[in-house]
Formats: sequence, C-alpha cells, structure tokens
Amino acid sequence: MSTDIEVQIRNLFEVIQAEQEPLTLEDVNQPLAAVVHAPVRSTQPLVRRGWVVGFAAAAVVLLLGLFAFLLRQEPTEAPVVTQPPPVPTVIEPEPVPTTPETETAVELVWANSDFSFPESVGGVPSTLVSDGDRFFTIIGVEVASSADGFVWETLNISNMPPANRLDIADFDSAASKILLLNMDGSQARTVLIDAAAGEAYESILPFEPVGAVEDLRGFVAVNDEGEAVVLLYDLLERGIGETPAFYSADGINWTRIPEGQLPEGLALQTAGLGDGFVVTDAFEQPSNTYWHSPDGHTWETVQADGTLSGSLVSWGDSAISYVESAFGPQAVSANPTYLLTAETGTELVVDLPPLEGGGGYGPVIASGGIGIAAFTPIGPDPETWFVEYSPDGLNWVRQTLPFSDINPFGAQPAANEDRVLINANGEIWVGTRP
Amino acid sequence: MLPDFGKDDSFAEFFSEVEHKLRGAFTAAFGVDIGREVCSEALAYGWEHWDRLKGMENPAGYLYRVGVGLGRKVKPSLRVVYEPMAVDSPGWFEPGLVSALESLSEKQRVVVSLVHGYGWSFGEVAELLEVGKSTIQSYEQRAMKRLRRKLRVVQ
Repeated sequence: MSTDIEVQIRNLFEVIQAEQEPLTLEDVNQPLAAVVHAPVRSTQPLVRRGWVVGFAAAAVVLLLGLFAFLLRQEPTEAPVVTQPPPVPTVIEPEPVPTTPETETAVELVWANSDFSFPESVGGVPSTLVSDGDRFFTIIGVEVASSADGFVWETLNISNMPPANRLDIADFDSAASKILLLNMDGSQARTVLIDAAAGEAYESILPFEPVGAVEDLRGFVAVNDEGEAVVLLYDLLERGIGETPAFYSADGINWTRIPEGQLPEGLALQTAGLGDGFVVTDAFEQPSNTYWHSPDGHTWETVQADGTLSGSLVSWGDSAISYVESAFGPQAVSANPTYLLTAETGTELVVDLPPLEGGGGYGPVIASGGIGIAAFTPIGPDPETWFVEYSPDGLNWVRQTLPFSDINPFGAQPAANEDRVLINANGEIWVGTRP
Repeated sequence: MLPDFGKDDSFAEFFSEVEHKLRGAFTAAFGVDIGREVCSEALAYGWEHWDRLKGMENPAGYLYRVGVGLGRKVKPSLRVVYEPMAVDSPGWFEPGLVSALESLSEKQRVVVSLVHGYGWSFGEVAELLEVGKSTIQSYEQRAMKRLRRKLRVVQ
C-alpha cells in the first residue's frame, strides 16, 4: 500500500462530503410529530418526518388540484365536460432510513439446564460468566463452556493452578478469556484462562500488602481489547485502608496504576467500557462521582447527576449502574431512578419508569446483547424472588423466578446476545426471549 | 426565504456554525444517510428548545448527545459510490477501508473520522464529545492501531 491510512481516510471523506448535501434551515424547520427526548439512550424511530413531509406534500397537491378544478367551472351554463378533471398526483412518501424501534419488554422463559460437572469434581458449577458470546462455568480446576446454556463441553486447560488457589474473589470475561482474582493467604493473584488456547496463566500482583492478604477483596474488569484492571480494598476497613490498583495489557503482566490516578481509601468496583474502563464506589457511599479511563492508564473524574448506587456491569460499549436522584432513596417509586449509561464516561442517564407493583429497581445482575436483568429483593413474599428484564433499558417487565433460595450475591448471572443464565445454588437456569 | 424562527436570529447563526460539524460527527457515527438524518433531527430538537440551549456552555455538544441517543443501535454504513482508481492516483483509498472503519467502536470511528477525515484538531473533537483531549488522543491511537491491523499495514 503506497498511501498512508490518514490520507486514505481524508480521501474517503472527501467522497462522502461530495455525495452528502448540507442541511439547510428549511430541512430542520419541520413540525416534529413526536417528542424528541433529551440525551438519553433512546431508539426513537426516525421515520416520522419523511411521512410528515410526504403527506403534507400530498395534501398540498390535493388542495391545489381541487382549487384548479373549481376555477374551471363556468358559472352560467351547464358545463360540457370534454376532459376529465385533473387527477391529483399523490406523491409517495420519500424513503427514509429507519432505525430499530424501541423493543417491547417480554417475560423471559426460564428452564433448568440440568447441567452438572461429574461427581468426581464436585458436581455443582460455581463461577458462571459470559464473554458476550459463550458462557463459562468453573469448579475447582474444571472449566466448561456452552453457547446456549444447555449443552456444555468440558475444556482441557493446561497449567490450571491447584484448586486451593482458586478461591475466587471476582472474575470477568471477554473474547474467550476469563480473568479470576484470588487471594490465597499469602499473595493476591490473578489467573487468566484462555479458553480458545486451552491455557491458564497465573500471576502475582506486584505489591506488598500492609495487612493480611485474606482481608483483601477486589474487583476485576476486562475490556474489549483484552486489557484488564484489578482494584483491591481491605475488607475489614471497607476500603478505608490500602486500595492498590493494577493494569494489564494482556491479563498476565501487571503494573500498578500510579497513585493519584484513582482515589485512595475507597472500595472501588470496575467494569469494562468498550476499549476503556469505568469505576464507581462499590459500597454506595453518597457520591455522585465516578472515574473513567479510555485506556487503563489515564483516569478522569466525572460527576453524575445523582448518587450512584448498586452494581456496575458492562453493557455493549457502555457500562450501567443505577443512579438515585438527588431527591430521595430509590426504593420510593415516586422518586426518579436513573440508569447510568457511561459510554464515554460522561454520558447522561435514562430516566427509568416506575415499576408496576411499586418498589425500586434491584441491583443489575447481568447485561448483554439480550438486554439487562435486575433482581428485585423486595416482594410481598420474602421467599419469592423477582427479576426485572429490559431489552433496551427503557421498557421493563417484572417476573417471578421459577426457583427460590437464591443468594443474590452468589447467583453470578451472565448474559449474552439472546439469553440470561443464573446459577441458583448450583443449578444453572436459562432465561430466553420467547 | 428563511423560515421564521420567531424569537431571534441566533439559532440561524448557531445553525450555520455547527451544521457541518454535527453532520460530520453523525456521519462518522451512523453512516452517510442516517448520519444526515440524525443531524437533521438533532438540529430540529435544538430549534424547538433553543430558548434553553442558547444559555448552555456547549449547545453543540448537547445536541451531539441528543443525536447519539437517536441513532443508537443503527448499523453504520459509510458505503459510497465512487469510480475505481489506480493505487497511486490522487484520492485513492483502500477498498477495505470502509469496512475497517465500520468495524471500529462508535467513539473510535467518530474520533478518527473527524481528525483524519475532516481535519479537526483533538481539541475540537474533545469539545464536541465533551471529554478530555487526552481521551480523544487515546481513542485516535487505538483506532489507528486497529485500522492498521485490519488493513495489514506494516510500519
């Protein structure tokens, strides 16, 4: 290739600019037939103005035709019609590009996958995760993978660490790779499982803990580029003590993120955000602050319009969390609740509608191409668990789960393009759109 | 004749100042046809809410976010009609460039298109997208790296 890519991009956009007509004031001076929302995650159809223009034009032609026809009438004698009156020309509405309409929220159909590992390895699946395409579950040194949640295959992974080093504190996955965080008593470690290559890589995080490693907990995130971030905090001090943060370009080799890039003394959670990362306070301390990094190296502080709360998970190029309004707790349905969509780390929020039956939105448990699922731990029957499901963040449906006794902190739900999986006490349940 | 915008002419001035910028950004984000339509919708929103927008520090940035919300989930298409040309002729671009650009994330595509396609500075892009200049530089570097990988360019 003899031309720089930068020059080629310039050449391409010169063609585009030549092909595309500029807009004029008249183009935008059309009455809008529907309300255009303020900046939120919206999928308002764009078709309306084309139809408005088309029908308006047709109406004008009809009126002009009628007017012309009336002018032709002779007032004194009965008219001799020698030719038919002008037939108004109906102008077909011009074709307008369309966008997908807002999706209807329908209840997911749940079924038990009936999957278990062989008894020899303990039988019950533990960690459940999706890379957005396939699902993975892990118990001890056994790893299994599934495309649909029902049919599973056990993978042969070389160099898996001993099971006693796989007491998993947190995990994330992207592009057939699963990153586990583990505190084994003396070291804080990560294990990267490359499911495609059938290899595991164990790494020790480069720092000297002040206190006991067992007291450390943390969060991991893998972004679309396969880069990873680990944020640790001291469980006993709920983050008030040491809070080291680490970055890795490959999930194997780690460097400590320099002090000052992220706040000290907070227990922070993180999620991949396209090619970058987003970080929020994990323990719902009253704060409207979050942090965004496009690359894991440089971080910026961002202010949200409300108090961030709940879990933080990736969703496509975005990450989502709830934002309580500044006017009251989210459990009071009269107060607005928002969904943070932090695509650039500075995006605004979706105004969530009140839930039918009252109550507030529960913590987000899974998100993927299928949409978002969230638990509702507040119901008329404390033994009954609900899940709210939304395909787009705008329309939601609440449904009763067909299984009980879920530990919401251990359910480890995961989602991909077309299903949500929940690990309910070792049983993997699959929720699909009907 | 210009339409009657009523309250004042400041929207017309704003329009002439930002139309090409917003159209470029939306074209990069959503493609040639839908990008123009999204731009029209966003500016129409701006006109309807001009009383509120004109007091904002960065009304163009606000309208960019309005448009991004409207165009979300659209599969971008930068397909254009052009005459095939020799590799060394002026104006040439690799046929695979279009699909390589379309494969980038929305933010990467917008940044790399505005910087290299329209000749914007990092600061101008940062202002429209309302993020830091270093963030824009990072997006640009990653996008170019990915494009080179996709187009198998050896440096």
